[in-house]
Amino acid sequence: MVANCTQAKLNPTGAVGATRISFPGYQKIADSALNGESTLSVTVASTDLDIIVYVFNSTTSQIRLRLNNDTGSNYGYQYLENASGAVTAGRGTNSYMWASLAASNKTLSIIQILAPSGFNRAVHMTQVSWSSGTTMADCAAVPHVWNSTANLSTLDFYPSTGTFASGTRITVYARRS
Amino acid sequence: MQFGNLSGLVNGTEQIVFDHEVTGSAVSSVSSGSVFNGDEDCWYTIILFGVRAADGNFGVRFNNDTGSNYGHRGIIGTSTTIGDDSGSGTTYANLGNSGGAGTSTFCVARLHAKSGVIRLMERTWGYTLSGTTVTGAGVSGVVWNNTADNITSMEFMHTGSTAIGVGTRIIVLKSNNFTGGTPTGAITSPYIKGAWVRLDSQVLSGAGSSVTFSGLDGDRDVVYFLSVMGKASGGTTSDRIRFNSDTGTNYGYQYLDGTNTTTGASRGTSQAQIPGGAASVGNYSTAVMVLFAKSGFIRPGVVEALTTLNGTSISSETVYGTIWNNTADNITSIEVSTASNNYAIGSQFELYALRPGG
Repeated sequence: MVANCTQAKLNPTGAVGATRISFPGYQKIADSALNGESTLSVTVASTDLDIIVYVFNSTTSQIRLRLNNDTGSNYGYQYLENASGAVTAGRGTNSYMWASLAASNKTLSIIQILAPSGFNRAVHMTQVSWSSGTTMADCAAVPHVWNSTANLSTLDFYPSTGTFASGTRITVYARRS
Repeated sequence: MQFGNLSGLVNGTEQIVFDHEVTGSAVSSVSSGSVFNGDEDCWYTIILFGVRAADGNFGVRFNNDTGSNYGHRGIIGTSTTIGDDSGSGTTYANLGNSGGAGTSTFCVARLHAKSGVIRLMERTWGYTLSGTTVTGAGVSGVVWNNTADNITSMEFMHTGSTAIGVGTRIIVLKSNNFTGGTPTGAITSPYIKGAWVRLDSQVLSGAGSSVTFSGLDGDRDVVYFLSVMGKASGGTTSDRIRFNSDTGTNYGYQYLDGTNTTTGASRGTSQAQIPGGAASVGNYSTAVMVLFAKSGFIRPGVVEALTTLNGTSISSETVYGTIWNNTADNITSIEVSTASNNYAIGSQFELYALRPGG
């Protein structure tokens, strides 16, 4: 049967007995409200070639991201940043990616991972951080590259020190067919 | 089970919850009404195409808070100047920058809406758009210094008098619930109303110089999201994005960028294409673009592009505000090509649409 359908609400991935909806668009595959954890690992499918991540960091340390939990110095970045009014740029390598700015206060990050088969992985990121009151501290575009063509299997988030603080939220969408 | 188009809320998607177009005559503000539940939805995406009927700036107020409870900090490029764009104690969350009557602004913003913490919003935008001129482009963070109140409404406003002009379009998407678990069945649908849907994905099976998405209906789709990742073959590649095969000098841009430790900005008018990424041979480039496609007004966009990804190195990061100076024609095709040489096998080009009206 093929028919246009209006539903009050459909639940593609609900509790047992729910029905999945398969359509060619972005679908939420993880949504984590964090408090006290030391890591968050999100499983992705090898066919997830385009992933969007929203990160709200309530932790007083930077959130870092590794792909497939690769701990090697296989990540590079180029940033364009405004830190308290000073606009600068720079480039470097790390054993992780910045999933949030290093800030002592709240940050928001918008991340898109492009992972075509056989290509290195490109990661677009824009990140903003708050200072206090109505003052914003920092704004940056911080794209990364993962020097690997391996199929993605996990997105591994962790704070640079301590654990995730209450209010931290990580939401992941993948383009699924 | 195969379904046709689906409408209604669908868990696990990002889907339109508010959509308004200003018609007839200019207005002072656009109120969403109480359609939001920030504590439940958590994330919102705001897409604004603003047409100015008078001088001033576009903004949004959450729960119609008119107090001095907002601030912002960003990086903007205007002509060859790159610099700080900041403010505190403002009475609205900034969605654009000031400009004169008849000019436009285009902004894509993501808001973390859940109460208990201050509310942060990230935005990318191009402003004071006219003809083939993009006066400025930027990326910015915005704060609403309120931790207590659940966001239930948004008031879109302008600092000018009766200044939100005809043609202004405001679209807000919310992040629908996701509960995980094990599905026991599946239904297939080609399209869900108000959710981003991939219209086409083209992966090169051999080296090629261009990819075209055809059979489009920009007036129906309204907003496109284009995602490009290419690998350079035969020499250096440089993305060119064009609409309806228009190779005339009908495009413009303003960019800001970072190349190693150097920051920069520049503007191009009367261009023959919208730029994207570029790469030296054997290396990668990317471009992601959000385009407001509806005819009747100029067609603005924002692009983020990466140049020459090689191992762990990225040559540069560029943010563009763009414009296609064509108001009349429905967009029926989008072409991505390289100015020289070819994209290598495996290069991927994807196009998504919103189709607010179904």
